[in-house]
Amino acid sequence: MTPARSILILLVALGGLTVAVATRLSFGTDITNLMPEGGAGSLADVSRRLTGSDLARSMVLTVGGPDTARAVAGARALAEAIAEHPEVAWLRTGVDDGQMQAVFELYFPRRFYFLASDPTRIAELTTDAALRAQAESAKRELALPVAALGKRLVTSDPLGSFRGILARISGQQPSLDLVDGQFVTRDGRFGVLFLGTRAPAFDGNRQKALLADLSAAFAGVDQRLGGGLLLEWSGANVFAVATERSIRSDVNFVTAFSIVSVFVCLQLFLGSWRNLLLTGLPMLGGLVGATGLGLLVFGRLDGLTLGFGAALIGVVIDYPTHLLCHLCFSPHRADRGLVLRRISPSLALGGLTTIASFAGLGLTAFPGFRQIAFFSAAGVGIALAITLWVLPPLVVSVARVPLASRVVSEHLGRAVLALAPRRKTMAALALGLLALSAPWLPRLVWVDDMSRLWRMDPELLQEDRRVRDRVSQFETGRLVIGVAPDREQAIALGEVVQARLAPLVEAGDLGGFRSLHSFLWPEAVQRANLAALRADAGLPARVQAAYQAAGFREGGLAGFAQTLAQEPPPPLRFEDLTQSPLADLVRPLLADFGGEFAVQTYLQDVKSPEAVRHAIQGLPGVHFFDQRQFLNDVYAQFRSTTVQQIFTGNLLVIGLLLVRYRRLRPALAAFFPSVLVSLLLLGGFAAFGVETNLLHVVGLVMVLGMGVDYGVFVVDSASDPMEMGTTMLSTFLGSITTVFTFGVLALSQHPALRALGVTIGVGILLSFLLAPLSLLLLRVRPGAGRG
Amino acid sequence: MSERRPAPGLALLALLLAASAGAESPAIPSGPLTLEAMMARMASTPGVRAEFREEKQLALLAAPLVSEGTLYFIPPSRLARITSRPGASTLVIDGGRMSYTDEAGASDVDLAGSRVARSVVENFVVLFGGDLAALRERYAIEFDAEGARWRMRLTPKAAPLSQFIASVEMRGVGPALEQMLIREADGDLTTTRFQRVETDRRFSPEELARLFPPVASAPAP
Repeated sequence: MTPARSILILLVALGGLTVAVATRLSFGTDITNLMPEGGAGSLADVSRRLTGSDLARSMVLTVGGPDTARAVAGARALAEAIAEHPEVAWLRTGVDDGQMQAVFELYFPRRFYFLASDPTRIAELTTDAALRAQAESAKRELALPVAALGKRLVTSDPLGSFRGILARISGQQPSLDLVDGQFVTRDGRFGVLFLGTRAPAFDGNRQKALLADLSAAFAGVDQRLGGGLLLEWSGANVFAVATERSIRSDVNFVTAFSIVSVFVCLQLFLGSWRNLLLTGLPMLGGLVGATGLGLLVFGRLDGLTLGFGAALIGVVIDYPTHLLCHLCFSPHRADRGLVLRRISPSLALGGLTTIASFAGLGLTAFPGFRQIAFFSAAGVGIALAITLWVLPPLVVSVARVPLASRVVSEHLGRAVLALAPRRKTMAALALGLLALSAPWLPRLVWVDDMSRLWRMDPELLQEDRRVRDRVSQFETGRLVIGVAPDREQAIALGEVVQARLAPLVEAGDLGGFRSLHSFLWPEAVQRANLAALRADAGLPARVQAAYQAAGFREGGLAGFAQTLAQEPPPPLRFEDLTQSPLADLVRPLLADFGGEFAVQTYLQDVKSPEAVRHAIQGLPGVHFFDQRQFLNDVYAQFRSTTVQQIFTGNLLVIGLLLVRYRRLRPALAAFFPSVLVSLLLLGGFAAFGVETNLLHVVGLVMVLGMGVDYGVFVVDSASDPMEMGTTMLSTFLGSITTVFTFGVLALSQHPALRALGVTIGVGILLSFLLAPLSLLLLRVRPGAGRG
Repeated sequence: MSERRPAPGLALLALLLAASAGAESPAIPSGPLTLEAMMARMASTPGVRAEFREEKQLALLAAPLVSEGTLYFIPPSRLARITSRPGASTLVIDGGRMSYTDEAGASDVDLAGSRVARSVVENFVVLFGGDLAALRERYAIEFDAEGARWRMRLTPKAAPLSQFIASVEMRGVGPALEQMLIREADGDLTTTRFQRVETDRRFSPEELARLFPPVASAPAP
């Protein structure tokens, strides 16, 4: 193939894919992709749905001022400024007049449906003694200064059911004061806004733009009102944006450093700008091609897939480096055909083993893993193809081998060849390393607490805590979810959950909870209430008597009998609420889960998660959902699955090596150093007290992929000592550029990136250093293949 | 400027108590007693303590409902009404919240939760600031004085207040408020008489803590 044709093919392929990618590219950052799949109603399914729910999109904003009036004015002005923002789904600044009107219109005519959530208790609630107590209570309320507002209810609601409804609903409101219709904190120092975003919390770009707009709107308000206002906020999106910004800053540094260092390094060793640029082609082609294929297969690619996948595709730097080193510096470089025939099988095997190890990741229940596996395997495949079929004609010969390459090649080649016959030394070294690392392995500490993977800005954490303390928010991360096949059953399930949780509040195990029970009871319960009241024919007379005994005028409650006999509106349904101004309040409490319905009870101040779990034990379809614990569990599973899949992937790798070499010894020889490196890495982490996490495992996958490549290269060069120097030069270059690219992440302030950097940096260096140990398992005939 | 509001009736009561003057209170400027002078006096009190006897004549009840107790007011929005008869009860208004405790237990009533209550309350806010213009916007005011004896009658101009309150009438002699009558729209009448009124009462921190248990304050930014 001529160079012109190679370039043409490459440009056409890359151009086509770039157009396809650019026109169809749809990124998302959906953390649920990294959750295991689960059937409808399973905790995984529930969690998947919750991460996209209104709950995860809500923010609390507080506006502080020198006095209440300024804080209120600031909060109100900010609300006006942002209410129409296209990314603001809803905004609550106070109690809506329409809500109170809706409460009256919806519930008052239906008050007899809502006397007792357990209709069997109605007899107990309507005994003469109970009625008398109710009458005395009503009389006491008449003595209150605000009696003028509520005394009309006494005659029409002598059983107090409407007052009960009001009490339940008011318990759902945030514990805030109201000034001029605006929520303010109890101490009057902060106006409070509740805001829902249209974008999911982890949609970095949209959330970043929204937060910037909110800040700008606030700055305008502050300036307009003379300054002195303070905006503080709380929300998952705030952390998502801050973390992304911080990571981006780390990655920007790493990118700049790695580009400069890799260029300098390659220029130093390759001595040709053209060849230097060629080393980037396979990776570029792999990334673009994998993105195009990924879009074709999955429709859209997740940001996490791109992040992890791109990191894994980084292993392909080995292929062009190996090719270039051999084509330019091999003792046989005069015969390009011979060199290509010799190294192509090594490259192909290295690529295929890497694809095999990455493909192992796809055999999991995590949709995100499958994407990552596909993306990285496709990228490696494309990069390998470009290396084998596009690059060779484009590589220019170097008139003079650069000094750096010559020195490294000669010294490393000589050292490895000198080591080859010293089997005992190699064996002692391998055994020594094994003995050094293996005892530490049981002490390896896995940390699956996601909050420890990313460094949160302490000031942001404090701000979040302050805001949440101000509004006494219900813990959004802890809730009890009941899933039922239809809405009515879900509502009924919510009642059972409510009944089970109420004693926990009494016992102090739970600070409180917010549930649908405050707004809606099952239709059957509503009807049973009315039926029970009507069944007691003597009730109106007994009510009258009880009130009369408490000092009410004779005949004052005659209207009660009439009202009770009248046909009320049909029982209240969830749809009635969602079509009313109460919709925002009730919607998060009952969700349609695609054919099933989930009733959600939000918990506050959970002092004993065990007590909550115990309380709901045995209720079918009911889960205690602790978001943090769940995500940590998911990540523990994610990490453990990855470790398992490493073994699966390695079995595939060994299979490929056996197919290629048709003998066990060279197959094991190529594989052995990477195993040793893995054990050393993990043992080292344990010995130095490094808490290991998912990112260490992902890094390990990459290290194994490159480690096997190095093993293959060494094994394939073993029969030709003249090539060994060139092979060691290529592995040296491959490892050092990888260290410059990924190892620098070890300097990151984020534990997750640091984990990736340390694992890859140390792992790849070890892979390079220990690659010659492949020779331990080989029977190398001195001088074989020479010339 | 808006401030947090106490409950209706009580707010007005407190206001008028503030306007009343005991022997130790600063005197209203000499000359004919005017509404403006009364309003200026209302806004200036540091605190009030007064004993009251309230009689409610309600169509619902066969006999008047009588309450007796002590009332404490600290401007602009804190009020405690401690009733000793017929039973012990305490009603505290602190900003937007009202807590009520009686022998049967305690309950919190959030004024913010009632549109009507809020509307009613909002009509009294203007009084705290001595904002006569705003008061006139909401009420028809009749004020007349004859010598030391005066009478002020407020009639709500618009709903929802007018749906509940027909008029509020205060009577006093000199700087002292003697009686307040609240006539409700349905004809019910509440008559409150005051005695041992202390205006310009300065409450110690201990008294304030006892009357108005502190609300957990938000952490400083």
